[in-house]
Amino acid sequence: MKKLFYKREKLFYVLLCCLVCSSLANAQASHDQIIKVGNRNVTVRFSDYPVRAERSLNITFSPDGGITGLQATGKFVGLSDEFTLDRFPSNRKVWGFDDISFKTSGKRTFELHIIGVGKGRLEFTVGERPAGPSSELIYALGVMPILALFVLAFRAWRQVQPARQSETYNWQ
Amino acid sequence: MSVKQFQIKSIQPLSELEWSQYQKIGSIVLLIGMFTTFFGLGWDIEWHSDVGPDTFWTLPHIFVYSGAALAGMTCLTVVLLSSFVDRPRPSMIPVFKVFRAPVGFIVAGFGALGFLLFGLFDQWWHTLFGFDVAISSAPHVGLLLSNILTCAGGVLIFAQGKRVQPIMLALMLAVTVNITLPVALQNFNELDWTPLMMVFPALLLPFALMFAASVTRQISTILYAAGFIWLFRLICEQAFPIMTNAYIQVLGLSIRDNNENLVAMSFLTPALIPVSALAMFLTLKLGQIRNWKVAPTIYLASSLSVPFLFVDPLLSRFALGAPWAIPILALVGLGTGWLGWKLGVVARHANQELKAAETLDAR
Repeated sequence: MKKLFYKREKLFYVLLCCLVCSSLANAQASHDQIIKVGNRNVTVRFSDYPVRAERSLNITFSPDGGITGLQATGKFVGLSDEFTLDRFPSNRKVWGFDDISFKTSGKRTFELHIIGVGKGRLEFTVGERPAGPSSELIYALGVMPILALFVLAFRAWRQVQPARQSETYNWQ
Repeated sequence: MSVKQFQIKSIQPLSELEWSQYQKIGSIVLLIGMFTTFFGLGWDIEWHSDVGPDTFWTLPHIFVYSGAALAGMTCLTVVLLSSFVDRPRPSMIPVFKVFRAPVGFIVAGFGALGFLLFGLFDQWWHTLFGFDVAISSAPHVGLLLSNILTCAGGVLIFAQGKRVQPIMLALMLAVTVNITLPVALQNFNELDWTPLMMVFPALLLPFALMFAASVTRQISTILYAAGFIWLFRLICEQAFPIMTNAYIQVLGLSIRDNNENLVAMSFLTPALIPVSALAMFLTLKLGQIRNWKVAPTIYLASSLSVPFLFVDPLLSRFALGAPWAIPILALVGLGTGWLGWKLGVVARHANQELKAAETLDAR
């Protein structure tokens, strides 16, 4: 019994180490890049760098002199139409996206247009998806609870055979 | 190894009164837990879209997880009491040859366990893929479907007993519908299967309302259930913006620039559910008065209830774009309404306490 306990304990520690290692392996640092828009420098900050497919990050845009009195639009070239760039929710002094992610890897170009100042281009590469279980596998696991409910209902249905019960055809 | 062997000998089995009381307390606490989760989930969805930046320890998350924990602990308590303190009863089913409990608590308990496991998995998923706020992310699907399983268990609990209580059953059904429908619609919307979204109200509402009428044998339960669904919708719509504004002031955050001021959980629940239910109720009442055959009356009532579900700010956009879909959806409602009615009969027959009470009454 003790042996079994120690075996289980070991397995627990191994699993814990795996989880910590996989988390550390995927820990990334922030990264700044400067682009030129008209006569201004704009600091672009990636909260996680390098950018990876399917991994969310924040991207903020901070022009020299701040954003007060300025408006900006942007578009991901070939991926989206032009849209108004909002202030970053937790830092209203910059523009930005929170929890944005890219479905696939490859080169991306973001065109930033500061109205009355000019246009600039940000080019970056989205790397491969982090190593981890495929979404399809997790979706398959995720539907198990509801499948179990269907199986339960189906078994009860077969046992009761509602088509043969008088209650099915009566109001009382 | 039989289940009976595990009973603790020094403790007297519960009396009928004690048994019914602790089952009642368990069912009410479970209902409160699921309502708390529903409330937190609705607020959380709105919080993400209106405010955005997030950690695990937000107030909406605490509502979601504490509600699920309350439901899980309740089920665990009832299962342990049923297995090791109480004597075997007809309403209990065995699990893993060690435990026994009423089927509703077993189903709800497994749902709560699934929620806990997928919740832990979700935390690990965030370390790999960042803080995704999409409701359709893979671990979120497991989390939410586990939650729906807990709700379904709750419905089964209230469908049991010597006297099925229409109000309590209607309340639990309303929580279940208010979680299931927005979750299904939002998932499909995020996964870009938008036109198919229209099928969910037609699938779920005639099914749930007919199930309620069939289990209780009172067609007025349809009105109670629809009334509660609408009431919960109203609570979300009115409370969330006020709570969000108060909470962001406490945290020193602010609303997004592009905030649409939309309470998604309410917006995704059809606004005219009471009208739809009234159409269903009146048709059934007419059928009862005129002594129509049950099956055709249910077909008619279910299909008549469907078009009202699409007179709604969100769903009418799709309905107006594809008016030809409404008769098809009415047919879907016809099928699921009849399925709900028959499944209600299944639940009644599986309810051993009700059968025993009816046999006693007949004598």
